[in-house]
Amino acid sequence: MTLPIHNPYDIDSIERRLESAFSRVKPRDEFIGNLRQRLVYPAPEIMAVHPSQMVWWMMLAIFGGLLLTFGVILGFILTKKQTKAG
Amino acid sequence: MSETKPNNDTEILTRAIQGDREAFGTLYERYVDQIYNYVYYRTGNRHDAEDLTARVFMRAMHHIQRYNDRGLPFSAWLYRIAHNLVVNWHRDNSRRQEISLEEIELTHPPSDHPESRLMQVEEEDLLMTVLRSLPPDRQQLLILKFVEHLSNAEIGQIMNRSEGAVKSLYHRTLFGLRDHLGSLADEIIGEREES
Repeated sequence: MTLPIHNPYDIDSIERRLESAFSRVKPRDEFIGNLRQRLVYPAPEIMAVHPSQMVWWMMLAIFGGLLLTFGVILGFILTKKQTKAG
Repeated sequence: MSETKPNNDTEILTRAIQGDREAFGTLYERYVDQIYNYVYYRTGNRHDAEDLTARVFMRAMHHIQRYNDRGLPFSAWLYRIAHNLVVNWHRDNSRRQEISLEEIELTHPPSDHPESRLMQVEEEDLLMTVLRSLPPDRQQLLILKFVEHLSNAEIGQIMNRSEGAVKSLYHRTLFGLRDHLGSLADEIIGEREES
């Protein structure tokens, strides 16, 4: 490794070295543009239901389906009984 | 603050707090460079700097309705978010990254004298290594002073310290750097004499 040019024991030289080491860095234009887009015009949420709520919605759908099937069968049996009695 | 426009900020900030995304976009454009530079020098690479800068503004946007105007510049709030995210990032990664030579080359114009350029890069590399070993508050102070060229009073607002405390911390940091660099130089001389 090359030895430092300035005397490292000198406070003024450390300040000068800091001045030269910290130059402003330009972020990529593409990054700036994309992030602005994400902040100002966020994409609509594809999934309206949060994944954690998904299980409850599925259980409700299964239960609803079973209830509907049971209702249809019961209705069918009752209709048959009524027809026989008639 | 050198790059802040407090009067304009107040009006735009009020609109942003009320949910105006375009107003937030204006604030974003105004401060993205500053926050990116801050994060870049705290992480040492462009990829993480972009990721963390995005997170700073995402968090700011989600919490802007809770923003409490205490007379401090808006940038102070952003710097605090950035500081917290960088501290978490270092904790999660538990590593300090160094700027690669290629990265440094990107930030400086090419020199006519490759040898002197190489020496300068080595010097800066050494300095950056020492800087990243400093406590987070000292790194923050040096970045705000040398990248953003803020005054001690402005840095105090961001770091929640008095102007005198910032001045004192700055001097302690310089003396610490001097000792650290001095011992490193001694080590290098010792290694050269041995070989």
